[in-house]
Amino acid sequence: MDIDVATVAWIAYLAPLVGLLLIALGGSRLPSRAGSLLACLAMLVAFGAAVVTLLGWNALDEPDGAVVSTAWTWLSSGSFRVPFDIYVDPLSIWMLLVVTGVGFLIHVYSLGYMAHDPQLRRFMAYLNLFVFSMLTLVLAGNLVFLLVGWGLVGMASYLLIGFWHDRPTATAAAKKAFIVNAIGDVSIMLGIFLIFRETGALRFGEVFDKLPNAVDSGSGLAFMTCLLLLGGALAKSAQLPLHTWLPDAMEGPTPVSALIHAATMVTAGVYAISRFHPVFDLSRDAQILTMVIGGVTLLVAGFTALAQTDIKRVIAYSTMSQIGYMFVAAGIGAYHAAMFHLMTHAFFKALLFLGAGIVIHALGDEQDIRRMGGLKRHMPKTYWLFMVASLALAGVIPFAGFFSKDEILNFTLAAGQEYGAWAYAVYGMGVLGAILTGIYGFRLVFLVFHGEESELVARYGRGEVVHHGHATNEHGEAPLSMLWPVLVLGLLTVVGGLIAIPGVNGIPHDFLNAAGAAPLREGMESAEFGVAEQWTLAIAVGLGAAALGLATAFTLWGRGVAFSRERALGRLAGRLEPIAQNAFYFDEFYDRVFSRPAQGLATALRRTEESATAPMLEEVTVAARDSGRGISFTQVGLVRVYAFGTALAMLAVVAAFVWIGGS
Amino acid sequence: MTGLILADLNPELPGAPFEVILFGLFATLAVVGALRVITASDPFVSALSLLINFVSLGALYLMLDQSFVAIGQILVYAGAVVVLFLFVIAYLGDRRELAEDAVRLRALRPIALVAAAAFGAMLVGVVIAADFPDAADISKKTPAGFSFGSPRAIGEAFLGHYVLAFEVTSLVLLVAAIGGIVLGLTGRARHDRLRKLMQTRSADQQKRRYEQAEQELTARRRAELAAGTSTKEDAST
Amino acid sequence: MTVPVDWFVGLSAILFAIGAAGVLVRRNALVVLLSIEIMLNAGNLALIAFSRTHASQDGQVLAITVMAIAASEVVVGLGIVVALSHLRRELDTDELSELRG
Repeated sequence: MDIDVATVAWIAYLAPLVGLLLIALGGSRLPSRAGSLLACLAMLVAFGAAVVTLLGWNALDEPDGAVVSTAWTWLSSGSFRVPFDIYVDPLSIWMLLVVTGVGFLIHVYSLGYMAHDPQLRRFMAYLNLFVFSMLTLVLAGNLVFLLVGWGLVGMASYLLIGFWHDRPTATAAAKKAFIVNAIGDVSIMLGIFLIFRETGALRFGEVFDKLPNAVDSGSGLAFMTCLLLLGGALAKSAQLPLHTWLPDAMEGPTPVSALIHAATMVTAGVYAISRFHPVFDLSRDAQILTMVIGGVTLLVAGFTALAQTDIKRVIAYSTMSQIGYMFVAAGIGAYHAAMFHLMTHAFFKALLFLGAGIVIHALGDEQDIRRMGGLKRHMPKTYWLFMVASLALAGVIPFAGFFSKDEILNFTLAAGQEYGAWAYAVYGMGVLGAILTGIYGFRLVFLVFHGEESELVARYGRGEVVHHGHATNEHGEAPLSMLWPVLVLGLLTVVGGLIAIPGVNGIPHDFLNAAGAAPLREGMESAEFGVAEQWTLAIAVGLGAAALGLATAFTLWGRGVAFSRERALGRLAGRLEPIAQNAFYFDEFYDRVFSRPAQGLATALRRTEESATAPMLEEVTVAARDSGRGISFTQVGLVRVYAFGTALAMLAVVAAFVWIGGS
Repeated sequence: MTGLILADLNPELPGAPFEVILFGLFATLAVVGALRVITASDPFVSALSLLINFVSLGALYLMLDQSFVAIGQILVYAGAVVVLFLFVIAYLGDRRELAEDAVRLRALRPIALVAAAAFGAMLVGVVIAADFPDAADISKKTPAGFSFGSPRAIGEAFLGHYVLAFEVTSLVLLVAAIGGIVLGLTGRARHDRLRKLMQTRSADQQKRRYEQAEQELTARRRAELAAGTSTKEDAST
Repeated sequence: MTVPVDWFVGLSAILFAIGAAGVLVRRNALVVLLSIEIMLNAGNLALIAFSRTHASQDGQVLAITVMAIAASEVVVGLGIVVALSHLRRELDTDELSELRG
């Protein structure tokens, strides 16, 4: 059976748009329930089409790099043409599957989570808009549409973070996310301009064909281009120093956190680096910068996560940390490892968020882990799913996170041969980060599900949680509509890693580096580094780090002790705790360096205006008023007098003409 | 052209004197009509005199071989404008001007008359002094095959070289029509319509302002009425 | 055309002066409007006369445009007169002097 890859990809791409438009045009004529189901249906169609796209791609006899399908020419001006086209290659199919698959599950989850929200329909429409934007980004066939998708994703995220627009904190967080992302947008736009200036091409195929001739390897131009592209990626993916928006973005509804701020949007930066890898391959410095930023971010975020008390913020910092790993992988050129971790992370992080969402939902929108504890008894299924996600996050065999994270660590160690000390340093950071991951991950598990029942949890057990002024009467396990997408994600988290068992198979590597497809970094073939002892060593170190992290967490919080034991960390590193609690003071730093000077400037300008400009304007108005008063006597208000004046003037003019003409 | 036709209708009379007679007749009618417009104390008489003036001018246009403009003159001015005036005069009833005593600008009248007369004299003097060319020959048809002054010639001019003026004029007519409607709305209907027309965020504010203005005007009108009756009473006693 | 164009233009000048006198002297708003019509027509007559003299369409086009504008002016002018008559008893232009400075 022949499958037209392009057609199916178009269906996958446009299905969320159709869903969005139907909901938007249907408006209130569409019952809330029907609109939401429509959104889920659109996502199901998109996911089905994505799977068929994958099958169709595999069925191609000779994959020729990419399947490009042009709908129409969007802009045409002289030789400058921007086609509206999609670019289907293994990389975009990979992203397509992750976005639509996880997106579909989170859509279904939202049905339950947001069921009581009066604006469920708007929420589902936004979710569809977000998925459509993300697909624009990953399927774009040229630089311009990549940029369009990039901007749309930022907008959709803004709308979703600020979904509860009656909460000032939510709107502030939405604005913050938008502004920080705008910095990244400008950066990546400038990078794209540079690429266009040098190559004169917009379509990916042409760009990458011309790039090696247009830009010298190792040149300052190559570094500059990479730097600008990287700036965009850092903002979208919440990496240092443009990461401050992500924790605040947790003000949005939890499904949004799962979909946007864990599974898809924040991985856009990783995707962008992978997509532009021919550019990054031209600049060793930019690659080292990428991996160092990734390494530093994963440490900083992991450390910050240790002391956060908001369940979603812990997971948000964990997301930053995990994306740091992806940046490390992208930096050393192991793009398939980055994409593999991107996928498994999407599974287990969405699982974590959705599990956290169930807890938050059950406890009446309570997000403070100090008021939780002992939930295991009330919701065992959620507990075990959360446990699976945490194990995967920590990198415990055989869960998905183990395979993907250790692949990154292995490649980082191996890359030491090529990058020298930088790679070893980043490897060290990665291992340290893995220990931290185990600690903060299980701190969450122990504090939320183990230990003594907190007062709030006990009330939940009695079905007496008060939410929005009325008792929910809910107790026990979460409703099935919320649970089954989580179960699917749990299953994927368990088996998802098995597609790349070291030494046995390597589906991400083989698929993404498929013959004819855009080759991901020649020379990173595992065979080259394939010293068996080294692999074994790396895996042992990775597992050891995870075990150490788990053990530490168990020692500190695992034996059913009350929250006061949290202070153990304080005793451990009393001076470090406030730093972690305040997330290394990045917000304060930006406030002092950017916000306050700007406000100061504005205040100074206002004072200048008040003291200097305004009095001058006052003079002008007074002068105008006085002169008006002076000549107002001529305005007698009698039309005939005015007409008389006009007639006299005309008489004078005609007389003048006659006189001039006669002389 | 039309002038020639008129001459042809009276073959026994020499062409020139007949046209001169016609011109004299209609010019006199036009001037008399115009004078009557500005001298009649009853606006009704003024409007009817204006009708005479308009019709005379239409006849003069015919003598100038401008049949289309002449017909337009009769239809638009005599047909529409004057009738509109008559309607309004009839609607408003008898509103003669106040007695001379009430005129505030009594001194203006003679000065204005002198000024207008001087103005007219100067214009006429200029016309007499000026050297006008003889009328062009229009017996030949234009290359496009239509004759001077015909509707087709005017249509070609309007939709060709003057299309912008044509469109702008139509726009002015539209605005005037809307303006007429807005001005014609009265009382409650006007209030509602205006509020609907100006429906902005601060509709309530506008409504309040509007009502305030209306109240003020009504109060003032009442005060004036009261003042008027009291002066009358004073005069009678 | 046997009647010289001077005569038409002279007539136009006389009519214009009469109209101007009406505007200056009369205080009834309706009559003022009528006088303005006379002035417009005087202008039209000159336009038509010159148009005929030069055998050019331009004057006619202008004259027809003036007619359209005059019609608009009558609509708005009369509308104002009627609206005023609802507020005031008089239509005397000398009494309508709210815009005095």
